[in-house]
Amino acid sequence: MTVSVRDLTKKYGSKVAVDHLSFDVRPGVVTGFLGPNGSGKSTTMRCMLGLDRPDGGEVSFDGQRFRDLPTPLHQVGALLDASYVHPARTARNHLRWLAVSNGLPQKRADEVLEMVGLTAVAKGRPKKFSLGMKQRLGLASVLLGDPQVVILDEPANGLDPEGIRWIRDVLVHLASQGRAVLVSSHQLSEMALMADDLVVIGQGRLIEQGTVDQFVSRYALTWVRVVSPQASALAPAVEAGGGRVEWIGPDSFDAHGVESAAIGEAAARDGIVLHELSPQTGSLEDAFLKATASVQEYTTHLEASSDGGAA
Amino acid sequence: MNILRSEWLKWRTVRMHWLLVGIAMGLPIVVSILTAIFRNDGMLDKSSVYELVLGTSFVTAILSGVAAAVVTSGEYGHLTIRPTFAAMPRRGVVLAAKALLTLLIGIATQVVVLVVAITASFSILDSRGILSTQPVADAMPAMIGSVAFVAMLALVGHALGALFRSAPLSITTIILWPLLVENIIGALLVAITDNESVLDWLPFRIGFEMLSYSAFDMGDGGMFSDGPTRLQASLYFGAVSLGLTLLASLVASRRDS
Repeated sequence: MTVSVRDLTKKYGSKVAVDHLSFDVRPGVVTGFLGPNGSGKSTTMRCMLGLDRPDGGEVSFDGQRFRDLPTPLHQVGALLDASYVHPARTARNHLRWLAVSNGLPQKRADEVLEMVGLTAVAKGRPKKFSLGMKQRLGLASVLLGDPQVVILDEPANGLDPEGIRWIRDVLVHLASQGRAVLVSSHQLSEMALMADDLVVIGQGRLIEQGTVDQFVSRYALTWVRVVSPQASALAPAVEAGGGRVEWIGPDSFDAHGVESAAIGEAAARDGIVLHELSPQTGSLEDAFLKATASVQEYTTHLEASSDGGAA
Repeated sequence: MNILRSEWLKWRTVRMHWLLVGIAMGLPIVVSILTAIFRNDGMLDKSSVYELVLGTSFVTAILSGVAAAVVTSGEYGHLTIRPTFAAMPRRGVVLAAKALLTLLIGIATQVVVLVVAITASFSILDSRGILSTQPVADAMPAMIGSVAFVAMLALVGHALGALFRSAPLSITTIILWPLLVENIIGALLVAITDNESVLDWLPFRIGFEMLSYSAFDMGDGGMFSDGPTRLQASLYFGAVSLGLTLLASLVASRRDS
């Protein structure tokens, strides 16, 4: 099932939260949904599920509007916030009412509780749950209807490292089964590990949609790490070839603006020994920060000092 | 039907809901039983049991409204309304199911009150040798009216909860509106129109009188000499509660959740 967002617009008074946003979520891949705080990710997800009424545009699930899906839990499983549970209703009963609403057997609640490892606390009340347990309960509600589309807003919030890894594995597994998975997160290192596609937005507008590799190669810096006992002899040749040299040690430098092949050829030509010649690429975080630099809603004016404090 | 079952499952799996309904039922039952046990002034008969139970049922009505307001506004307070609408996107159907459930719980609440309070009181009076002077049939219209009123006021509580999305505001409104605000409005209307009959059409004033056993027992079927009959009063208050429910459903269907 393909999710198609077209020209989606949502305003709160004069504030435009989502601005003519269009993107697709393909089946079989994890699509990361990225954007700075206040960029409109959660609003977009609420509009996709019909919880907020968009001022324009439309969202379709294989051509069907969400509100026209007769039993949505079978098609779309969503977790927007793990706290959307009644604190005094047991975990099992929370899942049971959801299951019954879509004609699922009540025993399905126990099955998904088992899947997320909450069987032991099935009769527990969420008011006594940790945030990580609530996230697991939320994921259980997503899995109830065995949906073709999974939409998650910051699912790793509050999870410990084991939990983060678990949720990553679950999402990758769900995508490998052919489901469309849309997940927002600020944990970019996690996103780099699990996402295939990215939708990056800022101030409600689309900045980029494509694969993670495309996004990183477009926005992140690339350079070549050179380590050589004759580095000082090689550096002029690199600069002569149009590169910029940034020294990182007496025997090593980073070369910007020049390909590794050109450096290798120059070294060979001058008989220079190389201990390392490796192309380097910035992280997804670097790419994200560069791509969204102009659309940050909230920026700090504090600079980190060298001792780790703030100046 | 799945949606109604789901809403019922939601309702019955929170202890607070049972507690609120229990409190709503408790007062008329306890007061009538205690009265049947301890009152000993020679004025007590089965007729006065009806008056007592029906009279104290206004508390049941108010508390049923409060309970419904707490349940519905709680959906917004805990934001469980979002997974609800995400699982059941046809909001009109969901809200209709909630309203129907509220109505049924209101009916069940007052039926239990009437059956338990009157049966227990009569048993006590019988054991004390106090004979009946009033056939049950005479009290039946008022008892039916009380069941309808409790259900309607519960519906009003549900509507206010959906409109305000705030338990404190909904509860305050459902308590102060009939007990204070409507009296102020009535006084103003009388002052402006110089016509006391306008009071006959204040919704809660009519609604509360539906509970009164002796007030309706005036031959013409109504408490007001020139005012609406019991049927008219019931229809009028029913229309008010239904109108409020439809308004709340319309607003809740259209705005962001």
